[in-house]
Amino acid sequence: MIPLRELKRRYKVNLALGRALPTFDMGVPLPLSTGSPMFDAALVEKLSPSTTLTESDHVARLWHLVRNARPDEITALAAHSRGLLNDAKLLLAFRAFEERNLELTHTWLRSLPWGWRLAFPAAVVKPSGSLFTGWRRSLEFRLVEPRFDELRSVFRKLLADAPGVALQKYRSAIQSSAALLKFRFEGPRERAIHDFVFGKGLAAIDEPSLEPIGTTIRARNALQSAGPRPFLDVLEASERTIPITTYMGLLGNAGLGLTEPSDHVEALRDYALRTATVVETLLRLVEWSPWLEARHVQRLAEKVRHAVEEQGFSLPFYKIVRAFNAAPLGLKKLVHEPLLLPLLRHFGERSKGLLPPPLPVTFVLPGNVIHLMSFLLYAVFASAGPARLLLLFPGGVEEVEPVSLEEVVAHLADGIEECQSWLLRRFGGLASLNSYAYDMSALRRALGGLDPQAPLVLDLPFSDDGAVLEALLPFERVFNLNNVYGAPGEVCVAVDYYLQFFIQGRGFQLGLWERYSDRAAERFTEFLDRLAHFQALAALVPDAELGADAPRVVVGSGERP
Amino acid sequence: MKLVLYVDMYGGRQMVRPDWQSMVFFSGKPPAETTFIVLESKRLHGTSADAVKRFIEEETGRKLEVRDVVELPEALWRPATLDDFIDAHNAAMVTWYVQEAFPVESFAGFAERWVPSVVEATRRVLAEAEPKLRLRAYRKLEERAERVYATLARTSARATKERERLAERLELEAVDELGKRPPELERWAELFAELGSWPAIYRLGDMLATELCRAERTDEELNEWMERFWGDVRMRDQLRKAPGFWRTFERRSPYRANVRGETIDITNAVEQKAASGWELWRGRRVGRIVPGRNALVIASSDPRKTTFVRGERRLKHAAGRGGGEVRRFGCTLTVPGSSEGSLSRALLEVERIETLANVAPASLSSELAKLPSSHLAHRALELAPNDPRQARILADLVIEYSVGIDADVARALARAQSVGNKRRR
Repeated sequence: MIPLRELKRRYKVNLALGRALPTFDMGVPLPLSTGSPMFDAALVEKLSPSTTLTESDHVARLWHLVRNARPDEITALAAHSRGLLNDAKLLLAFRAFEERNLELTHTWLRSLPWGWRLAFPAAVVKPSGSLFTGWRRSLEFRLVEPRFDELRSVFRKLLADAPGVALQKYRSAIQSSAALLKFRFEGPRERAIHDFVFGKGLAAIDEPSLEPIGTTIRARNALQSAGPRPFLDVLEASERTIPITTYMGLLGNAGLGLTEPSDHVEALRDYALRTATVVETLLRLVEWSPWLEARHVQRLAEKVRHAVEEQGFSLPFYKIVRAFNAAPLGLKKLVHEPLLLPLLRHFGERSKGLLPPPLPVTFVLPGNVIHLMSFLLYAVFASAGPARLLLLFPGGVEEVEPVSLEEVVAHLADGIEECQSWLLRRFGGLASLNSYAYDMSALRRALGGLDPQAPLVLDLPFSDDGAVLEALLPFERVFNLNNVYGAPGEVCVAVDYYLQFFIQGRGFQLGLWERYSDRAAERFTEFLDRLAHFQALAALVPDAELGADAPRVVVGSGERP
Repeated sequence: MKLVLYVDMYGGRQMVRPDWQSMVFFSGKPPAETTFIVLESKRLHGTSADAVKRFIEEETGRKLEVRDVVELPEALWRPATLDDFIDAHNAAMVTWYVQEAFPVESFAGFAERWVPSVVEATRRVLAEAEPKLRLRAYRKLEERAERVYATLARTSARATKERERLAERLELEAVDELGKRPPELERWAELFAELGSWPAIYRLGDMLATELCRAERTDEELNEWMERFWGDVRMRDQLRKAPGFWRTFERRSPYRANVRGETIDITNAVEQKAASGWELWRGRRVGRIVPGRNALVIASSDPRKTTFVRGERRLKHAAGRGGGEVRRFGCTLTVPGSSEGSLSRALLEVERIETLANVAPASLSSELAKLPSSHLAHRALELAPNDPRQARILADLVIEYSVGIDADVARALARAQSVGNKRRR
């Protein structure tokens, strides 16, 4: 496995050679490199404006890399398509299409979300419409020659493979592609799609392969002509549920809501809960809080169990926790155990798989303030595998006994006073210390006692010390949720500082900063996922590309650049 | 050593923070919240939390570990009065909280008791002829005056606090009283203009907007009321303080187009997020403006003349492509003239050049016609299709040659003028 410090070294070399972007121009700002600019771009470069580059600069750069990629690079990327950014995958599909490799084109398309897949023919014919926003969408240029017959066959296959939900969600993408291709819809299914996309959709009503489009149209017609009860009858009679966004849109157009009392509001709420996914429900907690009751939560708990055990899904950790935190206190108490806890436990299980041994993962946090997301992240990891928590104080470092995820989540539903009271009971006098004057010598000693091969997560805002850097030098996997100390095996995962106030004179500065770790937890797991791809792809880069004079770093050799 | 300590709450328990670094709780009956206590003993050495902790250890005979919650026994403290601030060692650290704990009566009594001592100390200074003794008298005066006036200086803060509490109670009662009766916008507006407390302004502001935007009220009525509110300067200013009013108001979608058939120069319009408020209500609106979405704004010091054009910067490009003008929302939007002399116009050109250099460099060949064939730009044009770094060089050269602005500066300026158009994936 290529260690973190080697990925950092390759980045520095490539940055100096102009082969890597500075972090401020990356879509995913990570000072790492596989050694290959193509691999790096596919992992971190997005086609959106960055600090010094416009979206067109990124298009030119990424397209140049894709067009000049070697076949072995393309093969390696195809094997890791799950970890690549969609922008790169789209351009790789362009290249495969240009080379008349339709099998590879479909391979890349299958790795893209349905919205992108269905827009692919339009993107080939008129790239500006897909790659740009604003006035640039009207620019006329092409990256590859559109061979219309082949594009039509690609589009026909996409339509044949697309499930009804995707066709329903990305109707405008189908419209654009079909119009630009002058596509002729053939056969009953395609004609039904045509009627749905360009007409009133009546032909799609009886096409079972397009469900839930048929259900949606029948329900819409019932709502328009006969009101909420027949609308609900249609929905309840169908085996397929319609997407929650479509459902809420239909209600909104009819002037109906889930909060205001009406004759059918209970049934409308029941259907909303039936059709929304668990994550969608959690994200709507605040909106639905006026009417969500224990019996609703009971039904959702069943969905969570089903989703976690049978489906498996990725969780937007930060969004979920933020939505939960924004919910009214009463509702939080209702949902924290049946909904939030199983989701976070599942998240912990998935994240654990991203941290190979040796373990435990050690979290070092300040003892004077609780950074909720970092603390929760620790609890999530601790619920799934071995983890340690070190708290830093003016008088030294304290390792606290494991805090279970159940216990932390239970207190996420507390008010401020209850939460403080719990902290006082749980951590005693440690919870009553407020000083930012940390004992860095004690931290250095504590770090010296850890296994440098095991992962270390640091979240120590407003603390900087050379002694800590010295202690971190032997570590291979240091994930800092703040500014890095500068150790070779250390990487900054997330920094969110906000300047509140600042004055500067000739001999002085006075600043007031606020720091948030909210996004750090989510970025940390994203980063771990990305790191695994970096390491896998880095192992495939030939030595000749790495600057042969520079010594390579191998885990366990003790050799350092 | 004598300390005065402010009593705050943590986890539902009363506590003090001797040096703001750590908390000391209470055992036995605790003092009331938002009061001061006095800690006074010859065995107390220092004002820090550590000193207090050592003092407690000595008094209780029990060693405290870092995980122990530090508790002050009932026998070791007493409630403070303002007079304690005269000789407490840490008084200067806590005077900022005095107004939280003591009513104005206490300040009056304190002034009666201690201001004369300052006058007396001043007289002693003036009466002292011997310079060395005078120096000592000055020191005593400084110390006494500092203690007395630093404490008394909080009188105004306490008076403000008491006044605001009383005003808030009276005004909220008045608002609630109005709320119980059938709505009378006239009376509501009269009261609203008089209000001084924020909770009352927010509450009545929300009530006003809800009543004003009722579905049965016609647009004409709504407009008439808004004009009346604008005409009353107190009301106008009061509404600026009530964001809740504007949030409710915008649900009625009141910002419809009010300009048609005009030709409007949008060259110097700046893309901004439209915000609900007087400026948008009183301004000229081309197309319906939706608060929270982007609009092109042509600012003016006269709110009647500030123009909001529905849309984004792309309208300028559309006008540029359409020979300098484009029809939108019943108006003709123009971007007249050339880039010479107009920075906004030049920046449109910058965006066009840098985009084309990257994705369609050949289309810039006409821009290079006047340059000698040996010019670096021709080489960059030739290499750009196969080298993105050359595309950047081509863009830089064409921008600087044809627009006359440093390319990096121009790019930054162009971006600053466009808040929207971000690609989200």
